[in-house]
Amino acid sequence: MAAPMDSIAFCKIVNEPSFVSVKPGFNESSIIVSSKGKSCDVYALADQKLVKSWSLRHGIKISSPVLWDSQKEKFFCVSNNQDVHTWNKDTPDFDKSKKRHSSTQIHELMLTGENEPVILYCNGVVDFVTNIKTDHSDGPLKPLEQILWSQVASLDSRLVVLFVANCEAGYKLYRVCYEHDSWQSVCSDIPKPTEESSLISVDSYTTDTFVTATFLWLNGKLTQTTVQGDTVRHTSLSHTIRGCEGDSVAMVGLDEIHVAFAGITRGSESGICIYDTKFGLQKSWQPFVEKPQCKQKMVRVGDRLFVPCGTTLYSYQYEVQPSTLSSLLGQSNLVEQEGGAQVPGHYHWNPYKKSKLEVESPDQLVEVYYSVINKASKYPEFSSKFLTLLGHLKQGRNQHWIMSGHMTSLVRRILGERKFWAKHELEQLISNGFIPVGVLGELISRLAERSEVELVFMALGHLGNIPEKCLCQALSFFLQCDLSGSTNGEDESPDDEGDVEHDEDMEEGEGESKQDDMDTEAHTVNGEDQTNGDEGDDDKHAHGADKGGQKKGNRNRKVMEKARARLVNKVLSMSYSDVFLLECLRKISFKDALMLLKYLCYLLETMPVSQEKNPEYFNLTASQIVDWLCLVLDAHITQFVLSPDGHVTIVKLKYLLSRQVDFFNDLLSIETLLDQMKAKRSLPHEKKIGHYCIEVLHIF
Amino acid sequence: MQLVKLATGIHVRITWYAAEEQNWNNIYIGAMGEFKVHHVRFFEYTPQAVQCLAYNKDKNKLAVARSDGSIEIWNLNDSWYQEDSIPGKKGQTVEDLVWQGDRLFSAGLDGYIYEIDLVALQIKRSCPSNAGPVWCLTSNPAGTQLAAGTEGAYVVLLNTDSDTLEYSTRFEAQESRILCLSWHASDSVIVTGGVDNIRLWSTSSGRALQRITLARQDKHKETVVWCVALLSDMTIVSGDSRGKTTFWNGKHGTVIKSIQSHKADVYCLAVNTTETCVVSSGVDSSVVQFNYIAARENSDWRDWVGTFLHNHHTHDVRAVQIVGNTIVTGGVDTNLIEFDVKGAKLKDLKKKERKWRRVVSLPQRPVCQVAPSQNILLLQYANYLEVWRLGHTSRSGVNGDILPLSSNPIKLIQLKTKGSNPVYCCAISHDASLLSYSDNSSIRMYRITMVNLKSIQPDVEMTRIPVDPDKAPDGAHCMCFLSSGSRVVTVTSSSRLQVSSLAVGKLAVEHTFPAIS
Repeated sequence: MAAPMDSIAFCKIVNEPSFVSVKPGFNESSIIVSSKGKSCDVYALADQKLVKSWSLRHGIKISSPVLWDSQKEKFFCVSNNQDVHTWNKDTPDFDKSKKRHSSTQIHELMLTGENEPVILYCNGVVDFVTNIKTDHSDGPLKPLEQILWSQVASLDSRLVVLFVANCEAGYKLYRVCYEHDSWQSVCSDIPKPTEESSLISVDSYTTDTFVTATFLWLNGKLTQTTVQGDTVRHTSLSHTIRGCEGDSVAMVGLDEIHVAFAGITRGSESGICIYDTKFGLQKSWQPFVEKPQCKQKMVRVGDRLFVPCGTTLYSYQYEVQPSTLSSLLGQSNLVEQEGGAQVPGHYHWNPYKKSKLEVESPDQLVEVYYSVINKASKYPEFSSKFLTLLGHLKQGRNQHWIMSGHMTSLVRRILGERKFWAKHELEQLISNGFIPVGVLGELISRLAERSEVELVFMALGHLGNIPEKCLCQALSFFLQCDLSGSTNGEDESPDDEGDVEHDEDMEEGEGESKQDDMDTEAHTVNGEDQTNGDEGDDDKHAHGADKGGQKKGNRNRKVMEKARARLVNKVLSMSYSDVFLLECLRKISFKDALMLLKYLCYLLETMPVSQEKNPEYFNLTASQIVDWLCLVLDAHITQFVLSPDGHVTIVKLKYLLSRQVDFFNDLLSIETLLDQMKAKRSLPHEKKIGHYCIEVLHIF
Repeated sequence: MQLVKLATGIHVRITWYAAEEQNWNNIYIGAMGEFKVHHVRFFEYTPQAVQCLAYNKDKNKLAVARSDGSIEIWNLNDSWYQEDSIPGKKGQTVEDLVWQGDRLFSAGLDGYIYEIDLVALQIKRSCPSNAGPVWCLTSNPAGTQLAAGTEGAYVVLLNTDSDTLEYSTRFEAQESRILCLSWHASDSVIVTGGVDNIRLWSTSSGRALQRITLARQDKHKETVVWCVALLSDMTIVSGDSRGKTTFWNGKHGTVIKSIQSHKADVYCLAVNTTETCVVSSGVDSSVVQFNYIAARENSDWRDWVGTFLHNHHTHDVRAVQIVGNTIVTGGVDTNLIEFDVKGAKLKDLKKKERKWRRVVSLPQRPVCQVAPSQNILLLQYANYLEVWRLGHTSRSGVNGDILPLSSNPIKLIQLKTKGSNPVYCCAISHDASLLSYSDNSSIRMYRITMVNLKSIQPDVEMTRIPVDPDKAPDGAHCMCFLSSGSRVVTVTSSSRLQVSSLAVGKLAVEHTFPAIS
């Protein structure tokens, strides 16, 4: 299987006409990108970082790609078809490069192996770069004949330059060999598949012994010419490349069998494909990210194909595996599909044929979507179209829409609509999880503005990966919102009476067991009580110890109403990253932080041993409560220390924690004692020996 | 019979001494009967934080430097046997340790690089950095040079070839102190970490090849690179004050991956020999393991991924080393923790959590001596000694009874060393009439006279016994009195055994045994 990977926007170029070529750089992990009038840039393949760059002065245009000679460790290029420039990695400026002028127009400068660079002049003369000053005016090509393609190779240790030129009679292949210190040129005609055929593209595959040049003709026919030793063998392949429209197709040979084509059309789109010449099958096709503006170019360096499109040079990494029949079974050579539209998307790519239903679906969806976004100005119309859209979205093949920018726009439309409030639609989006993460912040702040408590609660329940910032937004909203009109908490509590009994049981137990503690609290919290009194809404958030005294104990121990506690507990039970949450918690007001701290403190104090009895209100584990306590304290530690409002809670928290530490220490001792009892050993006596003592030890 | 049981404040260490109250000569360890166990908790031994670690693969030894400047050599062949301990001097710190073959080098904030004599247990050679305090030290792969990063913002090179320690050269200065450095396997590149930057240096030219600037979490808070490692493929691994462990492409100066691995500063990191595992730790005391693993099965694309988290320390971790297949860490909680390097393969993940081991920081050689016939206890501190009389009781009881004391323990003597030199070893004779200690150069012996020892306020006199200048004993690493009480046997700093005795009121060497090879 041979397949190009997804395209990567490798680097920016000026435009397609100014792009010259891409060549291997000074190591395996770099490439040289030549632009005609702009610059010569060296990029690292791994991270696409620009490693070196030489800008060109005005008036200099690179006419032959910049090459790196690894033997001499120098760059070579031809400018303005007449000047050969040579420079090295440390040359700071292109103007500092060594320049040699040729009186004859240069077509291309080529490098192969350990040989000296070779120049192919426009008149068909081939010579080494060192002989540039020699007169090369007399060449095999006539003035109107033009070189279309050239290649240098070392065949059987013999330097051979191949080039194709068009002439009046057709196309000719010139084979220029360097033998006995002179260049010997042999010319042969290239047979056309049909008389009308014109050549679109040529590329070759080179080994140590032969060169196979593949020719792509205008009608999509492929022919091959193999040069081995002194023999030239022409073969016509029976395959026809479909999708070759016009002459804007570029071809690159990948190996002896595989050829890559750029500009192959499929329906209304053009793209890049890999073709197996052995079996005559197109193995894969991938559309271009953006449409090429002019004649297609494609260059291969290593295992990557580079295609300029607009102002971007795209890179396609490919993998070629042996061409076997088994690997090709099920592949299609049919490229053309009438009306074959692709599902939009840069990365989505499927070599297999799409069914009609699947292909048509996105267009319908887009139509419905735009009717919801743009056309529906009244609620009934909006609602009906929204239902249609929702129906489409629920289908499995449209799942990729959920995180798309379209959904963000839709949610923003609903949130920003002033004529009506599409609560039901929003509810459906939330319950189906069709809210993109990026718009969650806006959603929660807008819902908070509209006091949509249940919708926020629902969003927390149905949406995943909620950012910590949104959690804090929801938390602040839940702590501040007015729940007097809301009866949801009671509505959703089928065993409300049981809950009350449960709470009361706990409260009584606490009051009796902590009488001393309650006195302490009553004594210390008076100051806090006065402060909280100024805040206005403390009747609802009456702290357990605010009023002091055991008579008011039960009422005082209510830190938060049940409904609010249910909401806050939802936030507290969500997953989060402590690093990010800490940052976000710093932004909530101190008043909210204090209320949350008190509530967490209350939870820690009253957390039941068994959570089965009332899971709605005690769905938090001890570690969750402690983690939140730590985060709230860390986030507002300075204010907690400085402000007298928080002192009582902090002191209480300290007491609770020390009590819990003692409790767990005692549990550990009990465990040890139980082990001793299981082993039927005598229980150890605790000895307080201080700094020094003498103990009696009997050893028998 | 009496037993003395000692315990220190942090980690209980029990040492048993047996003594026959009436007749010492008749005692035998393990005898059945009634014992009186003296629980002593007034020995205020303070363990010191681990500052840095250096592992010698050839010898399988680990050098541990502590915050008081002392250096310990642990032999891992013998199941963590503390082979040697070189006491630190007052005001001298060890910031980094480096092995070169059998040679151990240290550097500290006094601005000197030292070579440690592992036989004499003292400094063998020293060389100034000429650029201020030294923060870090590393060796080149060939083991012929040292590079030190200094407060003066220089990388200083020192030659150690041909058994020398000589200043060689220094690189160009950078703008602020160099806190960490690492030498590339090719010998030609050094990477350094400092405030807000990482630099790559050419060792041949002494010039910076690359400067990598680190981002700041807060505009006004510098990002300090505390530790850095350079892998053979030019990947730089750094740990910084933001709590991030970052993998850099050293050739291009770009980030490969930055992982918020810790909640606070990353102080130390270590790389295994195959360069597929990196371990980092720091202020948050968690040790994070990173593995260079393929993202998918049968994929060639590999990436650094945080794989395991170990939480065995209670305080800041200052140093980490990968020793074979185990990770050794040490820090402010003074203990060394050893645990396995876990593989990143799925089958390893499924394995049950392996056990870890804590190597306590208390010295393996006894730091207290007993004079059983007099109920006298000698306690050895860093640069002073204490002589205590243990308490008495006239009662007896059943097994486990705590007996009421007739008299409490009393500190009789506190003897400070001259010039606050560290005490290498000490001994007290069985009848507590002679006390001796050694610093790094000489032995001092004292005669103790105690009257009314069992009273509330015993009379104690101590006089120094002069040393015969012609037969002066060498400084010792270990000593004990013979049962006769007049002879002391010492192991000298040149690994010889000496028997010294009191002749004509002077301490003189009676016999010297040949050096132990």
